[in-house]
Amino acid sequence: MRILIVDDSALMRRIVGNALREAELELDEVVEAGNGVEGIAALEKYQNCFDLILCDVHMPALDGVGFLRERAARRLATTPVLMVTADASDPLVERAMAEGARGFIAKPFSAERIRDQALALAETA
Amino acid sequence: MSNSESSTAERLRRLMDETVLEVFATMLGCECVPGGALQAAPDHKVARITFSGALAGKCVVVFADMDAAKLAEMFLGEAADETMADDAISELCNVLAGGWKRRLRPPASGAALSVPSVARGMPDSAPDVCRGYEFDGTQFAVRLTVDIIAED
Repeated sequence: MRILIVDDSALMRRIVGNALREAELELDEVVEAGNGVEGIAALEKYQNCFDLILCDVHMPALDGVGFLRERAARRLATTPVLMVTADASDPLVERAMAEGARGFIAKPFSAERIRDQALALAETA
Repeated sequence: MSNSESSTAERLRRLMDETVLEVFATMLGCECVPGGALQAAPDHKVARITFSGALAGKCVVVFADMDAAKLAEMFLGEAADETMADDAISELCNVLAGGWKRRLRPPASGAALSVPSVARGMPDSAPDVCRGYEFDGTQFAVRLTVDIIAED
């Protein structure tokens, strides 16, 4: 299993990555991207071979909604995306769901919760 | 300050206490309680988020350098550099601002949050709520300034 984490916070990428590595997933690789532009570059570099994408909502350069739109425009929208947000009432979360995100996880979250949600979504892929 | 302003500030402080407790218990598995009195200093790290819409104002989190590094280490379970320390207080400010706002009544609870920023220096003066917190021997302060709040 290969997972892409798109978040401008290196700390959050590490926290989420650590939680997933500790999960009972057959995890081969965690790829990190610092914003939506880097996320699109990662999709192209890995020929869109990801089982799950976790994506922050607010990021510089290209935010989470922009990332979803851009990957759809490039016909790369095949992997389930779980949005990560500190504000579940953010209108951008609703827009992300309309743009193809499969769910969202609101902070604060425990490592167990992000593992459970990621596993449930990955199993539907 | 009038009685009405005082009771509003008390409620906003109580909601932040609840938020801090929840965030530390959930994300770090530790207890964080009100206490301490972190004195503002020009070399402290200051994370800031602004609210806009039915809630206008800002949430500011203040840490001394060593304590910011300790927070990052607790998040990661390993030693952290300064970038990670900045990310840690930025993330904490983000989660506290979002969690506190969520506890308000609509329409204030639907206000927008800015992207957090981190700088070194003195926090803004005269916040409406200034609260010190302690976790694992570490202190930090949360300062809330509320310019507009619209609740049903």
